[in-house]
Amino acid sequence: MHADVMPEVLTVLRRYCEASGPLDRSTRLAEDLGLSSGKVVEALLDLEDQFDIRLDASRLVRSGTVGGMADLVQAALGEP
Amino acid sequence: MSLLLSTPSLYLHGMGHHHPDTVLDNRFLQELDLGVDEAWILERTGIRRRRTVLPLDYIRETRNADPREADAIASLTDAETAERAARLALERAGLTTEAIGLVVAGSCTGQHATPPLASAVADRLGLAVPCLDLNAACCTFVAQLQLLGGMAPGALPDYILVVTPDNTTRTVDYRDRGAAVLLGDGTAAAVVSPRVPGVARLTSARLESDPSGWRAVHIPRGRHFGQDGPAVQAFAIRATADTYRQLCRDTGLESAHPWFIGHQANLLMLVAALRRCGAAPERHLFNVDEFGNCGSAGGPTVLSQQWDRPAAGDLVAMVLVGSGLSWGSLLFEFSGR
Repeated sequence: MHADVMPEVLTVLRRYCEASGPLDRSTRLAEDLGLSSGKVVEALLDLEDQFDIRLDASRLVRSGTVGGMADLVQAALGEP
Repeated sequence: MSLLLSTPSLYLHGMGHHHPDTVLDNRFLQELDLGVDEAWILERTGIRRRRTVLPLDYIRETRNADPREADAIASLTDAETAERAARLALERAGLTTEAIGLVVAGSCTGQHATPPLASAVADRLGLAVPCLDLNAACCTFVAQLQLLGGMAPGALPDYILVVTPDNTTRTVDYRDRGAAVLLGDGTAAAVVSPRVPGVARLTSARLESDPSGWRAVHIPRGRHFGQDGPAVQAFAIRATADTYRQLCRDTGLESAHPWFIGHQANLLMLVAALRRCGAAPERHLFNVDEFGNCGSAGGPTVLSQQWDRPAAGDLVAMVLVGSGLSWGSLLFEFSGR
């Protein structure tokens, strides 16, 4: 069970950006964290490995927020 | 399901390459007002410049809005770039054209639906031998060598010319920054033999596909290149890393400290894939920073440009991924020259 994947998502994102402040669901990956689409894809692949799931990179790049990333992982895990 | 050759019968005698003279650098793309500057392009792709068969004035004035015009204005045809690469491969093999008994071509961007590109290449070389095309997009070189290496040697001539011309800028919409910053033109050629020992021996070949992803990268005839960028980048990183790890499991490769050549999609993809698969960065050979993504020619042009680098006993692993979706690997063992 992965009741809340947000801690794992935040840990992975911090590998790819230098954000020192608080991150929450509304934090934007590109505008607030300065992540290029390539870095977002890499973070996504890290999460795929961590949870042994497959994620849709196109959907994430379009949604573009920390919360969107967590939702994508949650959906792939089959949990609300 | 995959096509796996653990004991292929194929020797590599010479590699050749050709890149057009016209340089398409990041400054030029910045001046096209694509909404990107030189630093943005370099940071996101690792690509500094590319080559093109198109005149820069044509790109600047038309943005190649109608790619059908590009064929007419290009400085070189696919057959002409293939001829140049082939002549270098033959020279390195110490052979003349008369030795070639079969021409196999393949490309992501062939200029003609018919006849086979191989026929046009053979004609330029003055050859009257069987010709056929064998395509698997950016995995074409893997597919060509995989199938030739799996054939009964007696069914093949002593020497075969394999070419992969990809003058892909003809299909680029220079109003689309996603494509414009990536693609460049290049051609690779190889002289191989099913029975005559050469500079390197193909020791393993694997080809796999996931056809459900065939829409992810496409060039409809007469139209522009297009791709689902993030999805393709994720696939390319994942497939490259997984395929290299599979090759290591199949062959016990890691302890041999092999050279690594990947699909030259962009440098960020290659670096990310390397980090995931554990290949040694100091053994990573690439040219995407200087020539861009040359489609099916990318990986083989790297091997050609580095032709003198592997020493006797060295292994070179080539892992290619591409539209289809397809992916695969080749493993070469170099011997004395």
